Amino acid sequence: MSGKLKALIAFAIFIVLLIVVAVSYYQNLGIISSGRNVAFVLLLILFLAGYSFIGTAKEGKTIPVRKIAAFDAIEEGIARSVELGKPVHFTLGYGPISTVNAPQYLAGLGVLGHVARLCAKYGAPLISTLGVPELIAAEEEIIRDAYYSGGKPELYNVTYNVRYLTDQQFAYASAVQATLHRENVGANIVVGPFWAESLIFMEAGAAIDAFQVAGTARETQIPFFVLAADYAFIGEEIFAAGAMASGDIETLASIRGQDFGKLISWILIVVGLILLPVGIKLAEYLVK
Amino acid sequence: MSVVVRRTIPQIIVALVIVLMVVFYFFYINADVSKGFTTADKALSDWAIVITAIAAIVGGIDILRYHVNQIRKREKRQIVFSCVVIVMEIVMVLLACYALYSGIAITTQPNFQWLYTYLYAPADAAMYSILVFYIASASYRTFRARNPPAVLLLIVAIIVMLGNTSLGAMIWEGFLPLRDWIYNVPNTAAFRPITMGIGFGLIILGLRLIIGKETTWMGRRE
Amino acid sequence: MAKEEKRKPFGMAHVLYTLLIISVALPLLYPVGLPIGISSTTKDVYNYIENTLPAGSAVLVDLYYEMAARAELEPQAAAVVKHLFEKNCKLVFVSTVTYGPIVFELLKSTASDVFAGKEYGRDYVFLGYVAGNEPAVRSLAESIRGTVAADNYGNSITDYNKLPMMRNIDKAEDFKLVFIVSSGTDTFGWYVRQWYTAHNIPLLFGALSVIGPSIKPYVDAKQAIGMLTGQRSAAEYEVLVGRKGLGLAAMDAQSFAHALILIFIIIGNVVFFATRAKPKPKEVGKK
Repeated sequence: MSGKLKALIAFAIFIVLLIVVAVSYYQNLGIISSGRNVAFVLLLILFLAGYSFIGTAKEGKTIPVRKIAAFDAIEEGIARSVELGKPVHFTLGYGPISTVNAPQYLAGLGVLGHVARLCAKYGAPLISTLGVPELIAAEEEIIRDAYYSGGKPELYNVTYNVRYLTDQQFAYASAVQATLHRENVGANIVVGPFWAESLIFMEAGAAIDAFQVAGTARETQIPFFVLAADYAFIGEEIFAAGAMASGDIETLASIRGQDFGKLISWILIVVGLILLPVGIKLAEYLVK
Repeated sequence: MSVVVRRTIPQIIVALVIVLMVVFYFFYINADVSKGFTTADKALSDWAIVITAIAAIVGGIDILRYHVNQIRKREKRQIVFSCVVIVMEIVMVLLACYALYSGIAITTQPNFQWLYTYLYAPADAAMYSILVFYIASASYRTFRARNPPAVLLLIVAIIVMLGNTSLGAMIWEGFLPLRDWIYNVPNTAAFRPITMGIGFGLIILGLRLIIGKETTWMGRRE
Repeated sequence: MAKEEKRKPFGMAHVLYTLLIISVALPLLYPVGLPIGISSTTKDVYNYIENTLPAGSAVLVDLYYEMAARAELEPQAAAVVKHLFEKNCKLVFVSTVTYGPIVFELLKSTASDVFAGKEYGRDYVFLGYVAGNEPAVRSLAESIRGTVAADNYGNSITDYNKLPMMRNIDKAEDFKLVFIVSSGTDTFGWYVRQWYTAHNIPLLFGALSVIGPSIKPYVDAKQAIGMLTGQRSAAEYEVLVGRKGLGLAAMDAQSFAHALILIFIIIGNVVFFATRAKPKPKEVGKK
């Protein structure tokens, strides 16, 4: 299917769904769950915006995407580890994957792919610890592929590279801490959903002078990473990291959609503030 | 395994689940359909529970594999810990089998309760308490007046710390209300945009997964 | 594999750690009894239970925490339960986390003064662990009898000789309040959606202090009557209900530990400014 046709179909679906929402709302049909009309329209707009940015990139137009310092720092950390003759450590968290945090594990895997490819490029041994039993196989495959396609199959040793620890929070935290110390790692890269263990990792890394890059979309833990890591992914940047890791310009262009979403919320906030003195509460209309 | 099994099928499953989740969440249509959606939603969660349970077995085997390997290689700094892990894992599995055999829940099995209360719980609480030391050393390392934003951060940190304790109230009564204001106004104001940004990031990630553009989680396509 | 390098056996961090142990342990062993002010959020919760909640109401208490969070959450739970018992409330305890049964037994043994004089089955019931997260919470709101067949000790829920209080308690509308003591963040959302939005039952949150900012929006939106966060709220509540519990004892320790950290932050800044004048080899990273 040609790109133009695909874009046309996407746009048609968008218009049809928009009409469904409008008819449902004005005719009181209640097709959309109550209070979720505006949210659904916003979701559609963001999907379409992301998709159209991808389409634009496909046509060969360059879309500027802001740089994420933490992403570029990963290579620096791995190169430094190799210079010091130390292994690189990566971890993406613990717990069951079937929760609201699943996208963060996915983002972590994206970053792991990037880290593994860089480790293969520089010849660094990689230790990836995790507490998510569902992802053991995925990690093994990602690391194996990276080492094999990077021409360093000799560095791949499954029991060394991928270490499932446990899915219990503090047992996992203590095992990661022990790994950092015993293996004396040179770079500590921590991306995924984290709870109270985030600071334990950062301080354990600092104690062995590891170069640390950390990121999470769990709001309460972001401050710890920002303060204690050398570089930090803040919130949604971990989702963008996966796209950056792919190196694919079209995928990268989709990040523009995130920024477009922010623009919409900016406009809504400003309009809401302007309407407030007039006695109109915009928020009440948004949840209708 | 062929590319279809390794990549195409997982991609289709992920995209399908995302679309279904969106439909279940947003579409009501009528009471009957909504009930059907709820049942389907529950079925999906049940699937997830089944997968998690099976994955836990894989995890258990993986732990065993790693530690047996460590013992076989006689890793000096690891061997003692590996022995402890293996023994504890076997004990837990045996207790679970025993509980299953006696037809009671594992959490009400007396031996498990004893192990949990007197072995696991203190160890777990001790690991959590280690945070107090790490918060202290992290504050010592990072709260330095390097530049104007850092000075601001330092001041806010001091106010919140004093507001949290009785000592603060002894110095000046105003620390507690000031702490509450910092929590409620600037803190909330900083939190919300981050939450929104995360939401947008998730939506775009969802889009990439639906159209099959996000493949980094599956290793490389070669 | 890289071998461990020799590091300083006793650095500044270790001095700090040692002093910290002393400043935490000593006040716990010998409480000083520093006075604490009562914050408005805690006062609101107390006033609600004292003045608005009808005496003798049925209250659901979800204990959703594990061992690590016990130090922060158990004093809160004990203080509020004491207050509820004083108002002759009928408490239905439940746990939506696996370790709930163990945590409940520990609460009962450490807060034996709170449970003294209260009879199981007549004044309180423990449903045990209910699996299924949010769907389970929804199911409890629709019908307890339809969700759990027996309590934690194997008594049938419909055996009104053993559990007389359950005769009139089954669905959300039979409750006047839900008290959620949780170490997680998501739990609060479950109850907001399944109990507050669906059945308009007032909620009260008991959370870790680090979770506070995440659940504040619910309280601001009046979806919960209030929240208690961390040890500080526990200590304040203990003052209000007149129970000398672990929350109060821990406040002294917390005060001294905070003071110590403040002193070290000041020292850190002095050292920073003193050494900044000297030229230093460039460090890796942004710091």
